[in-house]
Amino acid sequence: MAATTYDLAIVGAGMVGVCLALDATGAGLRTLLIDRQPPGQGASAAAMGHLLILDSDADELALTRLGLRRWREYGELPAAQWNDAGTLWIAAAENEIGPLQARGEALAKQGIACQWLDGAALAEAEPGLRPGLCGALRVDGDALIYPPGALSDLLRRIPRDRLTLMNDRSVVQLEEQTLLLDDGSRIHAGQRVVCAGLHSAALLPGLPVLPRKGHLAITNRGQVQVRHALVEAGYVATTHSGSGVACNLQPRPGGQLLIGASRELGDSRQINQRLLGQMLARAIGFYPTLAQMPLIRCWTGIRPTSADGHPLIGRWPPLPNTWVAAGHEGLGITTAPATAQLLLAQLLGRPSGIDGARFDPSRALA
Amino acid sequence: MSAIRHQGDLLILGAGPAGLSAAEVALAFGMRVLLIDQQPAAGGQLWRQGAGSPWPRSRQQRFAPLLAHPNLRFLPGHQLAMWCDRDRALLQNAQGEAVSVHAAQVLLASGARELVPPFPGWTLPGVTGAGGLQAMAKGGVDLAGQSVVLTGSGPLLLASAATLSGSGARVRGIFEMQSRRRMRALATRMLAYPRRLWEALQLRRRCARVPYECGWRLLRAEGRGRLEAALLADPNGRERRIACNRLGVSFGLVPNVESAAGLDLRMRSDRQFPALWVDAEQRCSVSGIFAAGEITGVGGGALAELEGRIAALAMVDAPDQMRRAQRARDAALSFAKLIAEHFACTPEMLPNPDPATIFCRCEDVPWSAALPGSHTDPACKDWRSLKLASRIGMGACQGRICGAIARAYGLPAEISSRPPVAPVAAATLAQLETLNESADQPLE
Ligand SMILES: Cc1cc2nc3c(=O)[nH]c(=O)nc-3n(C[C@H](O)[C@H](O)[C@H](O)COP(=O)(O)OP(=O)(O)OC[C@H]3O[C@@H](n4cnc5c(N)ncnc54)[C@H](O)[C@@H]3O)c2cc1C
Repeated sequence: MAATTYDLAIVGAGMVGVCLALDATGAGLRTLLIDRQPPGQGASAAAMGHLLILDSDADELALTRLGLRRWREYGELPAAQWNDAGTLWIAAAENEIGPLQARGEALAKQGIACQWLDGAALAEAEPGLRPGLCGALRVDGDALIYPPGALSDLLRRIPRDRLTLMNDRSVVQLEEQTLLLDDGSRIHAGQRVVCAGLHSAALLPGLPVLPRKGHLAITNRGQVQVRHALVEAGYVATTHSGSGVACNLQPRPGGQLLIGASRELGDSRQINQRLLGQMLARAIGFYPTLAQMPLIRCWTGIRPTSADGHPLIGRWPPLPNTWVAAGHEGLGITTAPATAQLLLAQLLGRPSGIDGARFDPSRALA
Repeated sequence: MSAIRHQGDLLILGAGPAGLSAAEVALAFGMRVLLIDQQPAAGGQLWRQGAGSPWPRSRQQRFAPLLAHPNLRFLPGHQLAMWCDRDRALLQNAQGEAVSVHAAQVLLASGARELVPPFPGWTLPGVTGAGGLQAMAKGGVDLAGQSVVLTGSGPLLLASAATLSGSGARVRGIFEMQSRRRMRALATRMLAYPRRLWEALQLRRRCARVPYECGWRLLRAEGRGRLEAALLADPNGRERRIACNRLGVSFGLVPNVESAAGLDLRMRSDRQFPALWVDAEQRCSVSGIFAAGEITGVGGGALAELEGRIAALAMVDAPDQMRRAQRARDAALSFAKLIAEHFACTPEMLPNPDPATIFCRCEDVPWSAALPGSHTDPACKDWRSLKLASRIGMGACQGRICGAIARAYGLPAEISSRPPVAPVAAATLAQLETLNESADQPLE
């Protein structure tokens, strides 16, 4: 078989890989998108689909903000079930009010629409919440999507004359000039990007990607009319500490309620019963009528996370013409379009619009 | 609020013929038994008791003392939420409370459910499973004077016709998909099983005036807002419209293997629908777990009863009784095989849905979205992709219903292993937090 050559080979057709393929083909690159399974069946299938601004630092803010902007610029995504829900960051205790309000002011200063709701306003906005909560910061621009639907919408948009989709082949090794596949064949590509999520480190030894498991549960249809994504203020702390549970509730079309979130290190998809129980108890604590709602499914997903909590986006110096975009933890759906923009700009030597120094993977080699 | 806890030597899931006969043996040998069923009363599908049909005297005499036995705790109306371990399960009772049960030995005897494939009009009120309609009659729903059509394939149609006729319904006919030649061949072969033949004739006698037609096809159900007629094709392909207000459909039985989800048991793949693998003494592939009845492969009540008995005998070590039961079981198995062969349902016998026919009723997924190919050659062969793309199997039934249908049409649908086994309250699963903290301590 004559070796086909591509301008760009993308390993991994998760949300990151698909967003990148869309941009790369848009820039005229002949692109190969390769996955060992049908597109979007890794972490991207397990995710909650919350598109949200997070601002633990300026870089996270920049990446999530660009992500949200680009998601909106994609326009009509029929299967994504887009919902402009906004997020309510809920203060359960008095001492959470101050930090949340400060966060709101900081976000407002950056031009991000948000608003403080006191306890009464919160109860009015979401009557199902437990009485006596202290208030909430509403971030208006956050949204909810169904990630598998969004992913297939984006994939459909990619012009097939520039994209080759190979979804039953595993890449086993990155060689100097080629990719070695599990059937022994090789692929030539000018540049290659590894967005293989959790498995990126298998292809790029030394890449600090760790598995952080999360549990999710979903109710039957017709249960509730929740309007916003409801997240307790303490959620952000669990995203950094590595383990624990926090209340994270999201309305799905048809009156389903999607329930998160738990975090623990580990790559077994098996349910941790104690943690699942804790997560549900936590959610019921915030939304009492949830207790009697029927749950139809509980599952786990693995968030590919980096050692320092920042995604790894950029050139991977140990190998020639090799790039990586992995380790997005619980934000990979939100930031996939931003990641694509940043990485493609670097690949083409163009300005990217945001400062990517913090995400430079070579920090792991220092 | 914490979970209610029960402990015993043997946990039996399912109080049908297999579960009840296992309990009978286990009690006789001094075991403490927990008997669990999601139905409000014991009996399962075959021996269902309800307002419309109390148990016959003989069965009452056999099992009433058993259900009242001090060493038996019968937990009716309890839904299995999930297996927490191979000897411990989380349930939810009829009041919605969490119940934790624990026993060193487990018998899975959760039976089978009927296969009702989609066809135009199948979501009309008045269309049900044939077994479901029988259950309604037994449960005391007044069907007197109602015009009933029974169709599909299998012995369940005859049993339903017998019950329904007895409750005063006007059964317009049994329309079996199998050919008359095949049914004649079966009748001949049944001469070798006089007792079974006699039972079949007894059923037939109870609905003697109901026509038993063979070689038909189900086309659709019609009606404005409610079922008014069934449209069928006779063996010559002629369309026949039969006015009715009840249509009972059944194309065979699907073992309830979902109730073993999480136990990692070996399956047997020699059947159209997955069933649990068991050895000659009804042992599953994990030690301490047994299975009996339809969950190990559909074979009818007599076989289920013997298998339940064998499982319990294996636990108490009673070799002589075991040998006798096994001999009887082998005879029942060969009869079950005969029935299975003659009622084997091929995709060609299944009805043809329209593209707009709802396939997955939980998520309202139409046939066209689920199976874009023809119904015997679906375009999408991978269940997970299909699920993520169409949301089929993502609703309340988690593929228990639509997955079995998909499999009947030749699609490799997977069985969900994700808890819960059936919808239960969030508060029930929230109990996992504390149940597991004390899991290592001995129970009361
Ligand atoms: C429970 C949970 C909830 C989440 N909720 C949210 C949320 O609300 N909002 C949000 O923004 N993010 C959320 N996330 C995070 C998000 O899911 C991930 O960050 C994101 O999906 C990562 O995308 P990816 O493309 O990097 O990885 P993946 O989607 O995992 O894609 C990697 C792909 O690479 C393929 N692959 C791997 N190795 C090879 C190989 N050798 N050869 C070929 N192919 C290979 C895999 O098959 C896979 O398809 C959540 C994650 C979890 C687990």
